Amino acid sequence: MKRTLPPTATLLLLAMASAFAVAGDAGNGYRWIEGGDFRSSVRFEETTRVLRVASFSLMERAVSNRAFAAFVARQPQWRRDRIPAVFASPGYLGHWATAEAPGSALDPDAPVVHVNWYAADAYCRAQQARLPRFIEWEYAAAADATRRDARRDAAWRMRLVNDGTPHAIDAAPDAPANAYGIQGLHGAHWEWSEDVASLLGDGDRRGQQDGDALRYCGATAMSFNDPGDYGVVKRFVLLSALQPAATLGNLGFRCARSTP
Amino acid sequence: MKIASLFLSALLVLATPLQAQSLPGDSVYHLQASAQDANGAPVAWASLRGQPRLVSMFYTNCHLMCPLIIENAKSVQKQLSPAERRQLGMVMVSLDPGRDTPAAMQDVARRHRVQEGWQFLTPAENDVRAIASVLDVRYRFRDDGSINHTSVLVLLDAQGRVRARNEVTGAAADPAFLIQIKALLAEP
Amino acid sequence: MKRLHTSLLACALAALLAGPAFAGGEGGKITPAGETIHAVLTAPPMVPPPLTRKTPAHVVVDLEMIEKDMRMADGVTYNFWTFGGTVPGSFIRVRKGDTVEFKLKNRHDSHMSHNIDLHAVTGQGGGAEATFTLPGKETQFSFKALNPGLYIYHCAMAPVGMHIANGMYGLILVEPEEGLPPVDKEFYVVQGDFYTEGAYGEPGLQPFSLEKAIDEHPTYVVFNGSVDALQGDNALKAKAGETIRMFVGNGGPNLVSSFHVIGEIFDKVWTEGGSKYQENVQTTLIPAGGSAMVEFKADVPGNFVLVDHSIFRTFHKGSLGILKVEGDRNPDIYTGQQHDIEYPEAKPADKK
Repeated sequence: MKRTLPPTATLLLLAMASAFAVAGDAGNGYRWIEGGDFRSSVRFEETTRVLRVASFSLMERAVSNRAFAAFVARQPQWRRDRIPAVFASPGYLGHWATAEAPGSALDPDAPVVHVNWYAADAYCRAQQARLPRFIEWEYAAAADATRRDARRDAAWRMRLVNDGTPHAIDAAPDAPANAYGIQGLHGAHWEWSEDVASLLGDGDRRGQQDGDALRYCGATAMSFNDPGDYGVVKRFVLLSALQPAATLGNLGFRCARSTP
Repeated sequence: MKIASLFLSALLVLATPLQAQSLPGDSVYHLQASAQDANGAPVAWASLRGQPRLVSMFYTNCHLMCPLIIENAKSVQKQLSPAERRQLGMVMVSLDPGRDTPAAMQDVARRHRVQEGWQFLTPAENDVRAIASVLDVRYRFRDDGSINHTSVLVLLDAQGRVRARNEVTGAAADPAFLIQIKALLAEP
Repeated sequence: MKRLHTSLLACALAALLAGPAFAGGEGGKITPAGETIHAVLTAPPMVPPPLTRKTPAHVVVDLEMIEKDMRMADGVTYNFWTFGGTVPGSFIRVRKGDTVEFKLKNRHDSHMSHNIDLHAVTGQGGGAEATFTLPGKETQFSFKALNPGLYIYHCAMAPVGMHIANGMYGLILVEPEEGLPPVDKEFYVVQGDFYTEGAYGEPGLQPFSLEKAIDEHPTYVVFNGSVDALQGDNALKAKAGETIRMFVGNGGPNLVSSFHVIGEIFDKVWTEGGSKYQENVQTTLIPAGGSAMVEFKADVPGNFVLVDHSIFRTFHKGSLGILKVEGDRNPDIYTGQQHDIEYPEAKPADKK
């Protein structure tokens, strides 16, 4: 009589298989994040306050120097000395010792920075993944170590003003993972999102309530549901200014996968 | 005999990177992306290389700005000589592969009575963002399925370098843009 | 058939009617007036020398934004965001009618974008919409200084309150066409309120407290970015008999200043940095995001104390600075103590 594996075991095997398929990312698997209704701090004028975020998977940690070096070895067109000008800016991987490797001065497990959107996108695609959308970042980052949505905790929220600086709450490499098992979302580094070019922001946000936001066809006046959510405001403002070829010394990335 | 085949394979080895190297660094055709045309046939993004192109991004369910883009592009064509028209390839790329099937694209082409030779491309779902990035087209899907997007005509030379951009604000071609197009087409 | 969104319709119409709605990148050019000068910028409390030219010029201002940890008080450091590496930022001095070519750099190690809004600018955002600068980049715009006066400039990047609260402000002086009357000494002083998680004096690198900033309960209220920026060796210095002008600003972000110099009277106060002056003023109000220009003669020697006369903040939060005036006493004006003696106690009224 044929024995079939119980469904959970099959799922487990599949999950493990896909985790191991991620070459060069030992210890950086994907965690499944259950979707739900979510009140984003960002409000595009036509949306309701509460949006539905579909379940998705997110890398536990940002992509490291080590993992990106392995990617560059497999796909040498993404080396800093080979990357076409259309994708890159002068700083791309400029902090690495050589075109192939970060070098001993950099922590191999630290998030890789000075990478542009195209390289991040290519890395994720090579893993049958993609960059997370801004709202997926926001959804996953609403969690602290114990709560899936910690944003009503004013004290916790206030600390998020330090996102992107060495004083950020998740800046330390051993900072605990959040309730979804994701580490470093409020770290010293910003992270690319898939839809950076959709964050149709504006250089000077102060007069924006006047409705004159016609920089783009049918453009929405974007505002914040919660202007006190300084962590999200700062992140949005920074990401919305980036060109896809740009790099920053504190801008890295991690990948996400849609649930089929 | 062996030497000849070695020589040939050496040539091949040299030829392929030479082919790639001859593509200038700032060419948008470095992007590996795939699409299908209005007949459903596959079209590699990089295969557009070889002639100057006027490219824009739109979607078929767009009822205001996108018609203007197409009309503007038609107006550009009208102002070119027949020889220039033969040189310049017109390419409209969809932002909305989910809904812009080949049939939908053909329908738009028909409704606007565009000339023969216009290409209507629907990129693979996960290639839209990258194509939009190299063309610097920003877009955002709204709740109701409409799309906010920059309305722009991008002039690419035969090697895929962006030579000029024109924000579309009306149905009539921008005279300054036309000058840039004609100048490009006059280059050897 | 999908119902048309009113905003889409508005977009198409406006797009047809209006000019380019795209603001990024290629702005216009201004025809430069007169000679090209590179502006001399100074760190507080120094002021660039008075302008001597009698015609408008094309002035190039080159300013770099730097985030750095600096001293707030003894044992207390804070991560300040600065224009030119100081709080307040560099002093800019131009003349009415000048065309200012403003280059703004954001240092490579900044962790986020910054911009600038100069209150002297007539134009969108005071320059903010033209100067959104990512780390490692430089932006540029030009403006004509239409109005004379003393103006605050500050970063206007969202979240604006936080950028100002971290010290991103300074003063730009637009001299009137006839210039300012000469004085012996000019000083640059800007008051600001700071919000830290720790209490006043708590040592270490103090993080910014958003909660306190929203509640408008500052931990530190200081002149020129730190508790003793204008004390001890850093006290302002002058000689008895000299005329003194102070360009005083209030960066806020929240508090209004009741500016007073103990032991002196302002002979003239150009209230709010404008073109008319009031005379014989003891204490003048400086709005958050505003300024005042004060002038007085240091008639007698002594230590004259700059304060915010909302007095508890002066003695408990740091809004105290010293102007040390040296020179010969002048007993006609001030004698100092003349006697200190016993005096007879009054007899009770019912004792006969």
